[in-house]
Amino acid sequence: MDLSAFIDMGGYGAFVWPSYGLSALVLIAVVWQSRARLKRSDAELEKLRQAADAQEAPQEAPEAAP
Amino acid sequence: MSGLGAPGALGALIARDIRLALRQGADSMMVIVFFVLVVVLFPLGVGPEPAILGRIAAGVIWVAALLAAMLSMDRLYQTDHADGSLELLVLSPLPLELQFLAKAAAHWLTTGLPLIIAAPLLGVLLNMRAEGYPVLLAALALGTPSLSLIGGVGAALSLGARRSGVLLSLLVLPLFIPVLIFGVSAVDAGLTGLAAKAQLLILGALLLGAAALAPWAGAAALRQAAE
Amino acid sequence: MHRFVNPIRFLKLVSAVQPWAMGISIVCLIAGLYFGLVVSPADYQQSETVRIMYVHVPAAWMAMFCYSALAAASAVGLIWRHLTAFVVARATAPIGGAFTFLALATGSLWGKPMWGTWWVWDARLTSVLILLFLYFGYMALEGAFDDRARGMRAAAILAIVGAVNVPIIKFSVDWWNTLHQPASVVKMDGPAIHASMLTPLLLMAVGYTAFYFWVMFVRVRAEFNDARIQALRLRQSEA
Repeated sequence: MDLSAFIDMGGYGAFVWPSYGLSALVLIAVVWQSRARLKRSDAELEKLRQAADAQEAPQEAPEAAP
Repeated sequence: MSGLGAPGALGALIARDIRLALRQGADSMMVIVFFVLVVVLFPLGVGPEPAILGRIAAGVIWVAALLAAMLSMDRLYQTDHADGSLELLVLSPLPLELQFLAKAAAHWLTTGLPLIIAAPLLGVLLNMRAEGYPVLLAALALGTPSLSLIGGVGAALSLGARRSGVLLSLLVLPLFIPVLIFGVSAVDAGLTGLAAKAQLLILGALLLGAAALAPWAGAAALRQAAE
Repeated sequence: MHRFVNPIRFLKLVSAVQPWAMGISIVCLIAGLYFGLVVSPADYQQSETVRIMYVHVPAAWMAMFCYSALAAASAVGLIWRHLTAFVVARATAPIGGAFTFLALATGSLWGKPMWGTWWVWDARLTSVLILLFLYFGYMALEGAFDDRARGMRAAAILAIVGAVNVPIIKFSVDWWNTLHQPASVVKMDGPAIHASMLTPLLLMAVGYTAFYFWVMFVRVRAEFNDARIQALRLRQSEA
């Protein structure tokens, strides 16, 4: 298939390609933003969990001592 | 109050809400003035040509009525919410749905009814033909109570929210659209000499539907707001 | 269904299914693009612009589907008081809004070469535009409260009120449209659809649906993370 004819889309390229392009853009943006948010919250949760563990650890030590 | 039964209690509630609303009587006047002002803007913006104004008169009056009804909506529950009497309303033995109806009825009596009274004057300003007036009044009479009911739900939902005034408009205006469409259609039918019976019946059906469903939604929203 | 009320069980289900949703979505979308752009023929009447149908119609379908999911999840949350259901609703809204926007935008790009105008107050376009406002209203109400739980519950009520109103809006706009539109409007789904066009359409539809589930799962996981973060922070500040 001729590439220039493919892009031209029978003269309607200016409508077909923005349709597909906008759809791809919006959908990729949605999934990207969602995944970035998940990653951030995973990292935040991990950080808080470690801080919580670190807080509890020194308190356990004296009890384990005797 | 418990000895009065539901209708008596409803009446007492409505009376109380009207008294409260009338105490802020300036608010009612403000709504009417806003209504007139919005309508006046259209000839100034669109041009004074009578034919054009007559063509858009029904739509303009309805849209202005919608906006004016919106104006007084967000204060519907705010004073109760602010001074803590909302919890009392929720806990009272009277069904919350009934209290919602009372508030909506009071809102209509102090906002919707004055709008209906002012409408003919505005029809004159917009060069609406004589055939349109009876239908306009009938349609507004059927449509404005729906606005009070739907708006009441929005007011209850947005209680305590940030920017509750604008939020309320955003929530409620899309829900008003069926009333708007059939309201204008009724007047246009009247203006062209056709019977507006179908549109008026639908407006009536929308009102009945709103009267049945809005209290449920509004009461649920009020309970959430009181928690 | 009640088994998955427990957030931990629900999250396990979500994490297990998510890779499948992602895989199905990506495969179907790529296949759909190939069939839609390369393999399928141009339409006799609409020439190459018919290819826009393969991104427009699935977006429109998903706009409606997501709103139904939103309303259903809200109802489940209100009736059975499952927080999980509210979280699903909250995760669904922005995705549905994106699909609605795409339906309108691609429809506009299809309409210009077909009808000669970017916009027309056709009953369907008007209904979808109002649907977009319903999504905005939902998201606005949800985010307007400092207490997030309150926001989700209030928005749930709004979603159900809106769901009741959607058929009414459709009916009223149809009525309005048939009263005011003089000529007939070119219908989007003209002649009965040929298999060579049905294939990419269905592939894209499945791809879009799987995409919704994929992204919704991701967002639900992030929501639960946020809730746990809030709880942990609260506990730490008290410690």
